[in-house]
Amino acid sequence: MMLRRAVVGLIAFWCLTVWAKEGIYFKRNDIHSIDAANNVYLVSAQIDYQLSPYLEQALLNGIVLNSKTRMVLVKQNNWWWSQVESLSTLDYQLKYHALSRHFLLTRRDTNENWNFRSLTTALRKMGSVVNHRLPALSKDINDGGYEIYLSSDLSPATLRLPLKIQSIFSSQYSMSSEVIKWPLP
Amino acid sequence: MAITVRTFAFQVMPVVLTAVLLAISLSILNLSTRNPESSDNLIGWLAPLNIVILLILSFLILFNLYQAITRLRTQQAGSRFTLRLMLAFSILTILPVLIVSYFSMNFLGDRIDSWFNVKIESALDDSLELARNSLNVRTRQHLYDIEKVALELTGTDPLDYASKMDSRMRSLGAYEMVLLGKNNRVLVYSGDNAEIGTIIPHFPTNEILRSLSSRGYMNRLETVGGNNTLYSRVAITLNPNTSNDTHILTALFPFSDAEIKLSSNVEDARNEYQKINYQRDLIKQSLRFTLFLIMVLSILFSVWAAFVYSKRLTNPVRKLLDGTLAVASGNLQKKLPVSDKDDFSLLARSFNTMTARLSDAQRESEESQQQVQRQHDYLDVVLDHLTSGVITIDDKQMIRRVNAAAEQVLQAPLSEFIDQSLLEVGAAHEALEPLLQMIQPNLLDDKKEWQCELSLLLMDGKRMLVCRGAALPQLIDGSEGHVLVFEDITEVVQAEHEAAWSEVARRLAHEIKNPLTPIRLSAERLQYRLQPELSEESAELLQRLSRTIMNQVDNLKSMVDAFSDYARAPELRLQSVDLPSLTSEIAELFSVNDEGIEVSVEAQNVPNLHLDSGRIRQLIVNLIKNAFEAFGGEIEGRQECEVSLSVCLDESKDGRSEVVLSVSDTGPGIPADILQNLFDPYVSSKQKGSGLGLSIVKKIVEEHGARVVAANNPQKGAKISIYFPVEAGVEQTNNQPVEVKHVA
Repeated sequence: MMLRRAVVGLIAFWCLTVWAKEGIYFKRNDIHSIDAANNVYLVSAQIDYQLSPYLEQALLNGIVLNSKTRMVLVKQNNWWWSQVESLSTLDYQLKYHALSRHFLLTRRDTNENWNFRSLTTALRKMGSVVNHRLPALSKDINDGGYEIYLSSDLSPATLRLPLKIQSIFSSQYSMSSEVIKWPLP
Repeated sequence: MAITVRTFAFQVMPVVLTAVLLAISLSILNLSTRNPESSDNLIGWLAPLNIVILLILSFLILFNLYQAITRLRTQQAGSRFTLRLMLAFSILTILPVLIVSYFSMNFLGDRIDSWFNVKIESALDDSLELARNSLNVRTRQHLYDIEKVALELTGTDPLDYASKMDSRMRSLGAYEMVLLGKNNRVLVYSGDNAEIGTIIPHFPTNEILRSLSSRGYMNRLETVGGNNTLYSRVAITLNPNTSNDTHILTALFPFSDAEIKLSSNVEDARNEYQKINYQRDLIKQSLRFTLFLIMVLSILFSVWAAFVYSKRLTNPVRKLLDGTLAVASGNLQKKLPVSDKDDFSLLARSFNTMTARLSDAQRESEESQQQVQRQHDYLDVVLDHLTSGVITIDDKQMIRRVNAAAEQVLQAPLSEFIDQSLLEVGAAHEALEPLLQMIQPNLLDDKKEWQCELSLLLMDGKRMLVCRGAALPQLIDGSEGHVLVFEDITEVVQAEHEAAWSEVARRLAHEIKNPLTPIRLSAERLQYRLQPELSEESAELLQRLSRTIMNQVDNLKSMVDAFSDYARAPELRLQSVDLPSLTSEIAELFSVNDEGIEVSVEAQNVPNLHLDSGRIRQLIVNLIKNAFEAFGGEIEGRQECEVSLSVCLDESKDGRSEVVLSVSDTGPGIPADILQNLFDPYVSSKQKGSGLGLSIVKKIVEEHGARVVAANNPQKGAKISIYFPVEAGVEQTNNQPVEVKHVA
C-alpha cells in the first residue's frame, strides 16, 4: 500500500514537474462586495509563480526579484484609450539570503517580512491575496462600463548590463500574468 | 560664400543632427556601460535613439547611393568617378572597422572569462561556509543559554514567568524572548520591537514546531528588519512542573557588530561574484551587442561621410566635365567657379580663359556670318526689286540664282531650275529656246561682257528682250560663272512705234488736208465755168472728171480725218457711264443696215464705269464697223451674217473685277499673219477702210487704262474683247503700264 502511494506520488510529481510551464497563473480569483453603498470590494486570489530556470538561478545567485500585483479600475471606451485608475498594488521583494539559506520575502508597501526555508513556500506566500480590501470606489461605477483588472508581473530588480535591450527582446528575464477582469457592478 | 537655405537643409542640417544624436547615443552607451544601475532612465531612451540614428543614416546612405546611381544611369559627367570613389572610401572605412570589431569582440569575451576563476569562486563559497559555521556556533551557544532559561522556568511559578524571562533576556542580551503555550498562544512576550526596527516580526511558528517536533529544539539564522540584519533564532520545548502542557520558549539573539559586519561582507562579496558570474554570458552578449551597435553606427556614419566627402572631392571634376560637355555642345558661355582653396582652381581658370577665347572667336565668326548674311539679304532685296531679270550661272551653266523679275520677264518658273542646267530650262519651255540659242555662243566664247536683242513669243505675246551677260569673278573654290540680265523693252519699242505713227499721221493730216480744199474748189469752179461753153460730150467728160477729182478729194479728206483722229489725243471727259445701255444704243443704230447683217446685244447688269462716253461711243462704232467690214463682198452668198455684242462682269487673273465688252462676228476670222500686229496702223485684211480703225480702238483702250484682246472664235469669225477695270478706276490705272495682248 505504501509502495503504491509512493509510485502514484512520484508520477504525480513528475507530471507536475513536466507540465508545469513557467509563468504566472491565477489558481483562483474572487471579488466580493462588503459595502455595496460605498462600493467597497474585497479581492482574493492565489497566484502561482512558476519561475523560469533563469530567474530561479538568478535568485539563488543573489539577484532580487520584484513582484507587483496590480488592481486597477478601467472605464472602457470604444473610441479612445480606456480610462485607467490604479486602485491598489501589492509590492513584494524576494531575495535569497545565502548565509542563512533562507528566502527573504518583504512586502515593501507595508514593510512586512518573512523568512522561508523553501522557495515554494516563499512563492506561495507571495502569491497569496486574502481578502485584500480595495479603496471605496466612486459612485460613477453604477453607470456601468467599469471593470477591475487584476494582473501580476515578476522581474529581476536590476540587470547589471550596459544595455537593457535584451530584456526587451527576450521573455526569460521577466514574466507577466494574464489579466483577470471583473465587470462592475 | 553664403550658405543657402537648401544647402543648410539638405547638407549641413543632416550632418549636425546626426552628429549630435550619435554623440548623445555614444555618451549614453558609455554611461550605461560604466554604471548601468544608475542610468536606468537614460538606458530606456537608448534603443529608440539608436533606431532613429540608424534610420537617418540608412536613409542618407540610400539617398546618396540612389543619387549616385541615377547620375550614372543618366550618364552625368563624373558620375562613374564619384561612385568609384564612394565605394573605395566605403571599403577602406568598413574593412578596418570590421577587423578591429571582430578582434575586440573576441578579446572582450576572453577578458570577461578571465574575470572568473574557480579558485576565487571556491574561496568565496568557503568563506561563506566559514562565516555560517561561525554564526552557527554562536547560535548553539544561544540554544544552550535558552535551555538553562527553560530549566529555570520549569520550576518557576507561572506568575513569575514574565519577570523571570525579562530578567534572563536582559542578562543574556536577547532582543526578544517569547513563551508559547497550548495552540501556540503567546503566554509571555518579553522584548522591544523598537530595538529591532520598524519591521514587524513574524514568528515562524510552523517551522519552529516542525523542528521542535523532530528534534525538541531549533536554532537558525534569521534576517529581520529593513536592513536585513541577521539574528539568531533559537527555540526549545519545556514541560513546567505546574502544568501538563508543553510550552515552547523561543528567543531572538543578536550577533556582535564585528560578526555581522564580517559575515555580511563575505555574503555581499559572494553575492556580487555570483551575480556577475551567473550573468557572464549575458554581460558578454550585452557588451558585444553594444560594440556591434557602435560598430554599425560608426560604419554607417563613416560610409555616409565617405559618400559626402567623395561628392565634395569630385565636385570640381564633375563641374569641369560639365563644362567640357557644355563647350562640346556649343555653350561657350559656361564658366567654372574658381576657389582659391581648391587645387583645381588653376584648371578652372584655364578652362574659363579657353571658353572666353572660344566665345570671342565664335562671336567674331557669328558677326562675320551676320555681315555676310546682311550683304546677301541686301543683294536679295536689290535683285528682287529690280525690274530687270537676273540669272547667275556657274561655269557648268548650272543656274545658281534667279530673281523674281527674271521669272516675270521670261514668264517661266525659273526658281524651280536652280542647280539645274540652262538646257533643261530650254527643254521644259520651248518658248525660251531662241534665247538659249542666242546666249549659248556668248557663254562658250567666254566673253567678259556681251549684249544681244531678240524677240520671244511668250504667253503674253511677242516680247522684245535685251539680254546682257558678264563673266563673274573667280570664287574661292576656283569656280567661275556668268550673270545674265534681261530687260523687257516691248513697251518701249511699242511706244516709240506709236509715237512715230502719230507723228506721221499728224504731218500727213497737216500737209495733205490743206491743199485738198483748193483742189476741190478748183474742180468745182472748172466744172461751173467750162460746162456751159463746152459741147455736150465734152461737158459730160468734164463733169465726170470733176466728179472723180472731188470724190478722190473726199476720200483723201476722210483718210486725213482718220489720221487726224489717230494722231489727236484729246483730254478725257470722264463721267459715269452705263456701258450696257450705251452699247445697246449704238447697236440699235446698226440694227437696220443694207448688208442684212443681224446685230444682237447681250448685256448683264454691271456697275457704272468712269469713262469718256464720246470716246467709248467711237470705240464701239469702230468695232461694229470693223465687224461689218469683216464680211467684205461675201455677204450675199452667206447664209448667216451676225455681229454679237456683249457686256458682262468677269474677274482677272489677279482677282480684280473687270467689265468685258466683246464684239464678235461670224466672218472669216483674222488671218494668223496679221493677228499679232492687228492693232498697228495700216494692218488689215480688208480691202475697204483706212486701216486705222483698230489702231484708234487700241488708243482709246489705252487712254482708259483698259486692255484689248483679239482672237479668232473656235468655230468661225473673230472676237475682240475689251477689259475695263472696275475697282481701280481710270485715274489710278492710267499710271500703270498699258497692256495690249494679241492672242492667236
